[in-house]
Amino acid sequence: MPALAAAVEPAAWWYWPLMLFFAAFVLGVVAVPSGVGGGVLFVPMVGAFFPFHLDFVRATGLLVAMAGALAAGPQLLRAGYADLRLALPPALIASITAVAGALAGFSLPPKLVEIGLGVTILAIAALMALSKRAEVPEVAQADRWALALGLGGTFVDAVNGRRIDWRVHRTVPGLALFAVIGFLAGMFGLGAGWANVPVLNLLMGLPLKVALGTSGFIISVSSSAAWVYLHEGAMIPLIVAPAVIGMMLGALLGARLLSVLPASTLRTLVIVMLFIAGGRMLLKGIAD
Amino acid sequence: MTNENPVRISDEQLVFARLLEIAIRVAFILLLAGLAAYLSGALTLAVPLAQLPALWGLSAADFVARTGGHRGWGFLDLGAGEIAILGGIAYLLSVSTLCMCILPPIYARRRDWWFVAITVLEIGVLVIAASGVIAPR
Repeated sequence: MPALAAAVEPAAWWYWPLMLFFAAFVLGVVAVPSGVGGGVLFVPMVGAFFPFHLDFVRATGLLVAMAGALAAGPQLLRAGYADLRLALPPALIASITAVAGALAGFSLPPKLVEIGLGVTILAIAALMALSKRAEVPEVAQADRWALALGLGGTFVDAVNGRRIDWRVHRTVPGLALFAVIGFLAGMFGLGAGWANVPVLNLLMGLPLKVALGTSGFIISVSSSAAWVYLHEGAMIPLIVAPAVIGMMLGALLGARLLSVLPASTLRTLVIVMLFIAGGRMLLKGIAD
Repeated sequence: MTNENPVRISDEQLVFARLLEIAIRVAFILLLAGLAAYLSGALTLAVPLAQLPALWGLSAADFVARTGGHRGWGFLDLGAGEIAILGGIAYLLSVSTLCMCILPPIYARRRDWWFVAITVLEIGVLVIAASGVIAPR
């Protein structure tokens, strides 16, 4: 490809991948222990500040979110913080709509995708800033869909030894929201922890720790949209590999920092980063 | 298999967790080995590393058009270096589908038809997505 050789950028080929590795590492330190997952910070930050096309950033964002969730999955399942039975219905719905989202993302003009991503990220930041979390929501009675599907269980909080029986209500509205979440996650490569947790916790009534664990598991089994990106040629090894490895190493360190840094501080930092990256992405989309 | 949690966790969840753990370890080894091979120059590359900065600002469609048109499983026609990593990623994306294949028979034995249907449908969606037949254009 001689024509391409002449068009090579002045920076060495390894410069931006190396920067990406460090950026993913830092995002992993901050994002994973703060409970938002990797993809939701990765896509707007890297999309706004790196020279990669948004197609590659969205594809990598999905992989980053999936890899982190998969790595944590076995432990969460064994400890009872993730519930396989509870995760399967939303995972099915999100898998279907995530494919639709990925297809829509490739079909829309890049400018619209950038604007949509900017608006979505700003909305997520606002949602995070305004929403509360309930450690153990009050669910007076499981609804009939939850009973029919056998959703419910017991877990023991390792921190205080408390045994909690949990039930599920508002099953149908919850599953409907997973359709929307899957679509947005597939379209923008965001993963979905930012929305799964509030829906499971605040709407469907799961204890916060079960919501966090099950959310990660839903992401890990919803790999359908990532296949669409892979088949569209949107995964460049030199971008994917440093991002996934950097994020996972950062998450390992972040999990240790969680015991010395208050979670609320990390959460505030994440919200500020989302506002900056979302605003920049929106302006970039408008300017293009 | 031991269950250290004082709460009863379903057998299928524990089996799924064990399988997932093994499959993920294999995925990480594949990805790390693939990256080492990709960067070391030991394997041939369809797109030389030095040319990537001129290409990664293009859309995926333009990138594919400029680098030989590898859509779907066509990435297997790329260089061995690219296949080493993209093959590892394809495996990573397949991990949960492979593990999920143990679930329908378990639920069927219990006559838990809701979950037989849900797991079969989920496997079907993932297999169709993996096949590459779904494309934007």
